[in-house]
Amino acid sequence: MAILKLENVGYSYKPRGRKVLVNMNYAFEKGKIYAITGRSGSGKTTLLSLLSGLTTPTSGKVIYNGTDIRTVDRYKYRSKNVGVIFQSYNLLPQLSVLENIILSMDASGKKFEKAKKEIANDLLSRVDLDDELGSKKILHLSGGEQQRVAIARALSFFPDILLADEPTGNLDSATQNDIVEIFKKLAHQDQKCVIIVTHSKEVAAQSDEVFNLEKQSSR
Amino acid sequence: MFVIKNAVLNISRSIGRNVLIAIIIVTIIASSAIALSISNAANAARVAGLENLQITGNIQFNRNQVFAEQQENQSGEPSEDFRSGFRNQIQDSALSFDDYLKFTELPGVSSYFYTDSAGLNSASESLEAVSSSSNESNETGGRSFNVMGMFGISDFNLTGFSDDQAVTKAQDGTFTMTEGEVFPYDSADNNVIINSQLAIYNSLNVGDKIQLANPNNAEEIYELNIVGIYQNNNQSNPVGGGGGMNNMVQDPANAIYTNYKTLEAIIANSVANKIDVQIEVGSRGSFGPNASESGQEPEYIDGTSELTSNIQFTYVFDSKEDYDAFVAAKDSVVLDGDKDIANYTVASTDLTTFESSLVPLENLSNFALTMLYIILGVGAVILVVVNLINIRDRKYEIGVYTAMGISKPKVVLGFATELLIVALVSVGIGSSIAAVSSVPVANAMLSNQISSMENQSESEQTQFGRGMISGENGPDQFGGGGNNSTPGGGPEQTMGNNGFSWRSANVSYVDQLNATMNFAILGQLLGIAILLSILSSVGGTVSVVRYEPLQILSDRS
Ligand SMILES: Nc1ncnc2c1ncn2[C@@H]1O[C@H](COP(=O)(O)OP(=O)(O)O)[C@@H](O)[C@H]1O
Ligand SMILES: [Mg+2]
Repeated sequence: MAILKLENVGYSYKPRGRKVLVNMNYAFEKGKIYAITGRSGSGKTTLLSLLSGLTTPTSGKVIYNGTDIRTVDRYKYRSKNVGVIFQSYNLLPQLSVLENIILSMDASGKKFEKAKKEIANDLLSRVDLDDELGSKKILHLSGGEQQRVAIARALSFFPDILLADEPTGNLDSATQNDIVEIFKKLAHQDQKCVIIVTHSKEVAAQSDEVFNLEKQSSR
Repeated sequence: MFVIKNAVLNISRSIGRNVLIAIIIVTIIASSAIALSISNAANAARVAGLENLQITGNIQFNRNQVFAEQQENQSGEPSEDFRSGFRNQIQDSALSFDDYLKFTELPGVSSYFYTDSAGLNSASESLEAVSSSSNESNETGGRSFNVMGMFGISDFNLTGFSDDQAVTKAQDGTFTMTEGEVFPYDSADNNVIINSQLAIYNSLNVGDKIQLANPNNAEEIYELNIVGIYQNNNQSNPVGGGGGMNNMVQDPANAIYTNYKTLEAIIANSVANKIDVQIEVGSRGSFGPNASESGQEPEYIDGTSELTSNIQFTYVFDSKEDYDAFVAAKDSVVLDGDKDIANYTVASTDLTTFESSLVPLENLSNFALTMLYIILGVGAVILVVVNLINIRDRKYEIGVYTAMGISKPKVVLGFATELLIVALVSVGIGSSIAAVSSVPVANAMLSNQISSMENQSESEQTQFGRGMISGENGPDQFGGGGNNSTPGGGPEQTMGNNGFSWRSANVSYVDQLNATMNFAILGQLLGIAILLSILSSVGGTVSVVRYEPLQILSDRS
């Protein structure tokens, strides 16, 4: 069964404004990795906002586990069920790397088997970041480092769904491959639903399904 | 838990901002604490003072009111009609003993006592009044006159007391027996005690007899037995603190004390044996004591010889509440004849003195409370503004929080918690500052207040007579002393000067304030801090609720 489903989803930022998304239909399943493609301005980020419950569609429905996302507690949904890697990372600059990660874990209200700091450090090494970086302020990190912290943060509370907005845009191809490997493992081993917005042909090629917004909307 | 943890972390992450807020709150708390301590201490002083205060009250003729009414009824220059009308009103104002007794039935009266006094002259060569002045005319003119505008001239003031309580409240203050003992009160036995100065002056001893005569009828003679000799405890304050107790302004050495029954019998005898006489009065229109000195011929009016007496009836109350109940019920008394109870008021010298002693304290307390409200008002506005600015600055942070699934109420709660933690720390610091400084600050402010009040009353006192006419001494003290508006020295001014010294000598202001911090104040401060935090968080709440994470975050990217 699809964990996330789009049913005739349409969206415009302003009431009676231009429709960014028109009549979208798609089903996302657990255990699969999806690539969302399309040129700039085609509405990829907007779609992720809808999937992450940051906003609700102006027409149609986004369905999570069989219920209209409009009717669920979307704060709870975001804090527990969906990890988002934002295009602009949305880390708190005055907090350290570890603090940013632990904040998300705290916000989820979940119980963890290990100490939060330990989990966070494990994640940092998984995204190829030094342990030493943990105490550094986000402010002092490079774009690529920030991107990886954002990835670590999204994974930190073990969500069912992972949404990533061009997560490899700032990474060299070696790191990019490592990250994609992590995503693949999350989908195929841990049965997560991984949805990645990407421009990269390689990333798209490694995914199970490609969802091209331009083709979709022109259909 | 998460909210508190995150709030603590956030405070530690932005020390500068929170120190600023803390400084504002510490200032608010410290000054509020001092203001509250002052007002608390003032209340405590009042309560404790009232608890220890035995309140006594007197019924007094409302002279000012009657004068004003008379004045309304006539136009133009004061006519002879006006003068005599007023004089008659005052003369008829004296209540009878029976009238006074009616008030004892009113609620609140715990006990009562009374004195009666009359002016008498020496009836023998061997008894001479103590005189501080060698000028005979001065002495007679200056020393004694009677309440109702009839200036009977007498040497001695014979006062009859109802009981021990009345004696302790004697007009010349308390005294100590140097010889013999105070008379009993149960019969008209003509036993008296005399002042030690009078005793020495005339070589009198316990067991001796003295003869006194009615000043208006030298044939009317009373023989009194000296059973004791007393010495006044307070020699320097001749008029005494028992304001309103007596009309006589007289050398306390010439005060002769007896029991009420004896005086009652003397008055009764005097009334029974009255004859028609001419009574010397001062020059018309001048109630002042120096009529005879001013060179004018003394005037005489027709009258009868009976001794006029001056009853002082005092009601005792256990508490301010009892006194208030008495005052409220006063108008229900029906007076003899056509006297109107509305023309009489109840006054309590000890209560007035007590209230006066608290005036600087209450001024200060009111000032402190006003300051408190201003500080709180201004402080609240500043905090709200600072908090609003903070929240605008933290818009992105709010976006991140809400995007990661922290609900808006939790975000608001988190911000409020930050503010509250800072506020609580500030309460700690602010109240510590206040604990150290409230007592000295309060006392400094109080002494400031007192000295400014003293300056004010000094300049008022240069206006001769002011304190007396507006005072609470009622109709039968000092006669028309307030009419004499020329200040001046000399022995004939004793009356006026005593009026002043009474005022300033007896109103000793409460000048020490135990304005210490206590747990009640700490509780109030905590309340203030919590209230301020909540209040200034509300403004923030509105703006947080307005923000949508999608909007905030896309604004940034
Ligand atoms: N906050 C916003 N308010 C109004 N219009 C927006 C906003 N964000 C994006 N858009 C518009 O919506 C369209 C899709 O944008 P977006 O989803 O960011 O595209 P993509 O991520 O594919 O580049 C664009 O035309 C963009 O101008
Ligand atoms: Mg985008």
